[in-house]
Amino acid sequence: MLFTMHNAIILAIVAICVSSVGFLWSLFVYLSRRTRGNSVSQRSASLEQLVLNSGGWNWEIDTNGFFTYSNEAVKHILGYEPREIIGKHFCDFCPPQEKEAYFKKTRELFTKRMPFSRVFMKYLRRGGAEVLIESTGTPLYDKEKNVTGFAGIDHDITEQKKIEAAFQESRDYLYKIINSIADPIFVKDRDHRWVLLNDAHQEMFGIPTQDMLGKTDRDYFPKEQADVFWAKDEAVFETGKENINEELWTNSHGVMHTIVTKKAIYTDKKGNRFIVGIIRDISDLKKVEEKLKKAMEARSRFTSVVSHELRTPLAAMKTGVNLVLDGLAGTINEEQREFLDIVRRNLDRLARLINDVLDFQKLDSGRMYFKMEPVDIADLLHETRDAMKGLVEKKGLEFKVAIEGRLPKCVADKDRLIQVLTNLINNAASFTHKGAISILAAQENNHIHIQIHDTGIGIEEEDLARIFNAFEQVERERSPRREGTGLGLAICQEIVSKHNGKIWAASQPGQGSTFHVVLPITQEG
Amino acid sequence: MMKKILVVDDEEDILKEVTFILRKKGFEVLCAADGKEALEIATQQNPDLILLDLFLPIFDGTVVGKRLKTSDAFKHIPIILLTASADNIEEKRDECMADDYILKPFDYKELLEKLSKFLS
Repeated sequence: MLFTMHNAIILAIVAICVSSVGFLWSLFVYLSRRTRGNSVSQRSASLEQLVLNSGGWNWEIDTNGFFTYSNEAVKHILGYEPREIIGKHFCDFCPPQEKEAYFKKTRELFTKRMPFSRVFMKYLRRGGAEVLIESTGTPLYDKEKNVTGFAGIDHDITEQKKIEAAFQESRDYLYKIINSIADPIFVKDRDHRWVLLNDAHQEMFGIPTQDMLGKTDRDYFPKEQADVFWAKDEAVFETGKENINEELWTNSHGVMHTIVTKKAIYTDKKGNRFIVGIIRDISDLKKVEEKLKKAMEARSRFTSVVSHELRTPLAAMKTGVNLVLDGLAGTINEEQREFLDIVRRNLDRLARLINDVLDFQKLDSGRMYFKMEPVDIADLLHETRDAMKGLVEKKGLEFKVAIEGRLPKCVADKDRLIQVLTNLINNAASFTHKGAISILAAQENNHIHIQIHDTGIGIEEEDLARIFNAFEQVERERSPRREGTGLGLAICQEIVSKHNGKIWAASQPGQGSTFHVVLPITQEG
Repeated sequence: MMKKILVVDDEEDILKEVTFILRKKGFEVLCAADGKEALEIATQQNPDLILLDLFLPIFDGTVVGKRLKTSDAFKHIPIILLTASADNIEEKRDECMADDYILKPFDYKELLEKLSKFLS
């Protein structure tokens, strides 16, 4: 009766802790001791059932290692009936290569007469498959306290080990990948403590990862620096927004680095938030950037100085030649005039080249100043026509300007747009020997479309794509004698794109070309 | 009455050419080759117009322009910049308070047109 009471209480506790094999085992051993001396048939049936239900294989062996008892669970674990194994040595069911080690281990345990737990060993199932077993056992005694054998409970952990191994493998795989990433990676918890760092991080900061884990920026960096990092991390936690920061960081050798950290928030299943950051050392990039900036500035200065120094002698030459040509210094004969004319033309060409190089350089480096204001495109076209009329008509060409309806104003730099149109008309005139140059302007939706059409030699299709590139003149054998700089159209394109417009050319070789300029109409200004 | 023009340039060749053209066209021409001289002549001779180069010895064209244009006695004198420095030329014109500019190399006919515009 007392026995049953005991059982009932213990069963209740066991019901709570049924998953705990260790507890179960101590319980079993406790009860075994109480029952020892009674016959096996008197063992508690409920207790046996309990062990069985837990999936545990309960066994007993004598001092020589022969099974003296086994419960039914052995059927699931090894595929044998209890009667098939009772009387057999436990090593009969072990892989042959392990036997030697197991014998040794068993002798050791028997000599020590100590309970054991978490002993792992391999058995062979009926059919030969290996089974991994976790074994827990305790010595059995007779009334005279002599060891009569061992009793124990084994569990099949083959599947569990497989899962563990797979988990470990995928974990290793991820760690290997994280560690092979050349940029330092860190993960910080909500209290700014490092919880994960990769090898690149260790290398960059020169502090072993295991030392840094659990610590914060404040443990390693000077206060001012740590405060900056801290505040930036805090902002990421608070806003939850992915964030890219450029920070200055002084390494242990006192060398200043520029680092860019890209941070994002990771929230785990429990709702804990972490910052995941990737650091990139852009110090070298910064140096290159710095050099490039200096080189650009030097180039700008150089171009501007050279341009000034070239213009001055040109001015003296041009004025001198012109005043002689115009007869201010006395009359000259026709031959003298002819040759001085060559000088004048080439001086003008040189001046254009200098202007174009300077303009292009300014546009290219973004130093060209644009005075944007509302511009009446019709006025601008008439003004351009008046300025270019002489040149076009001197070549014996017709010059037409057609404006469709009333054009709204465009926000633009008037002088720069005139420069574009003048350039296009100049080009048209130099490639057209008979016929006309016509300018057409019309509003199309929210932009103004200007076309400059000529009846000249046209442009081959393969050349159309590259005429807007700097220093790309169509090969000389395909065009007449050129006095251009190879920069005119590149400058036009830059100016038009600064107005958010578009410029392109279409042509039928032998029949003429059309240059299109499209400018957006903006209400602003 | 003959109009009096002060030409300021440290380039001797240009000074000589411009002087030659202007005299041919019937102007009285005064010359200065540096900023200091330019200011002295301008204040003593009170020219009708000044053609002013920007980069000058002693002190440059910007100083000359500013001094004259901020003085009540001389601010009426038109100043036309005659310069080879094309960078931000409008800004420079405003900085030295000049009335107009001509970029070198220039067409002397354009120069004459501008003169007549300011002298009429």
